[in-house]
Amino acid sequence: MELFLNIAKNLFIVSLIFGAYFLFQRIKERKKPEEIFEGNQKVQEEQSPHEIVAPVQYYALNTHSVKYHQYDCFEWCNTRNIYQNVTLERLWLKEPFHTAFAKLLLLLDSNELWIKVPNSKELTLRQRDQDEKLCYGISLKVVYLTSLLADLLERVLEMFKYQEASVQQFVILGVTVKLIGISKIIETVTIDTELDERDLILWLFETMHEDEQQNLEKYFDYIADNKIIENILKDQLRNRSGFKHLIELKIDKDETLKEPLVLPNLPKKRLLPLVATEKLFY
Amino acid sequence: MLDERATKCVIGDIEIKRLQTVRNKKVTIIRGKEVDTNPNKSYLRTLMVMIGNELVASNYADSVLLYCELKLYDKGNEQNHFFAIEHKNKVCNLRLKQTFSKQNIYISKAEAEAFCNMFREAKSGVSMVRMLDEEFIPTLEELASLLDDE
Repeated sequence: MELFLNIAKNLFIVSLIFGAYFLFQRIKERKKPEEIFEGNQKVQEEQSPHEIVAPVQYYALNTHSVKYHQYDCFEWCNTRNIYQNVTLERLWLKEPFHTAFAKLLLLLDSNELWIKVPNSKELTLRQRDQDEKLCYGISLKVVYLTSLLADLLERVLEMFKYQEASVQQFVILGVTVKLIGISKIIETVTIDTELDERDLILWLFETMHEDEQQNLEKYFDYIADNKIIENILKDQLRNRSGFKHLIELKIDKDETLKEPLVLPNLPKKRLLPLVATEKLFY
Repeated sequence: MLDERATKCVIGDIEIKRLQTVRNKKVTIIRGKEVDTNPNKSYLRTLMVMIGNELVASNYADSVLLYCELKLYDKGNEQNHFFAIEHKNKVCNLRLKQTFSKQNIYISKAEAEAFCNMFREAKSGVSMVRMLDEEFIPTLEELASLLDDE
């Protein structure tokens, strides 16, 4: 009996010790969330943001990047950026839109078009030559079209965000055509020359597919009635000061020849990979 | 040809200042002034006349011609270069000939005398030596940058 009692005593003591041990661990776990915050601050200092990188996926035969048929004929960087940000990011490479938009951009690229800043004075200046002939000149404040178009087209596309891609393409073509009609050329002599919008619109109708011509008419009228372009133009021109530009007129008007603008011929497309787009930070 | 200067001149720091004479028709005199620090003297370099948004006279000689035509109000001729005489209801008026503006600009008798008085006072406090010898005739591009208000 005494042995049995001793064994029971020892077991009771041992069970008490283990019970206290398990209780003590549970109390620790309740205190842990406070300790966890102190512990995580040390962990964040160790991990730098550069080390957290998504794992690179290597596909089979990933030697060359994907290539697309593009036009590589633009000289200035502004038109190149518009072409990349509008067509290549969204991959609008189908035929009637791609060539039409590229031709309009080439027209902007080869000629310098400008829009007059509102509330700017037109000063007419006169000077005498060595032969005592009078020469006239007009100075204006002027903004170039290529620098405007990049911001303008992004804002127009935000308005038509939730509509189909075909609708967005019509809107972009209509906006560029109307802006080209408003703007004026630098190399001509008189100020009254303007480009004919009708010729450009007729050319657009001929290039587009027959099924899409009806939709074109709707959206041209929608743009013309709502005065979307004029309101967006005013907001853009309000923040820009513009450059001072001089137009030299001549006295003998018989010497001047008004050469009309002609849509240029595009070269052939080339297979090229996509280049990283340069986003403008106006 | 227009980019070259008509006369060789020495250019310092020339400032352009405006004098408004006839405010109803926006007739202004433009003075180009140069300041020397050694003898502390100021010299005139250009005198120009501007009506509205147009530069009518860009030389000293042309501005003197304009001054003389306004001085002889009624006694002028058909050979006036800047103004044309018109009679209407026994009243004589001068009209600007060569303008790009669509409205005609007329100048009355009292306004012509006011312009003449201001023209004489525009030469005060300043020496005319350097204008007569070395006049500053700017090119059209320099004019456009100098007359930039904004």
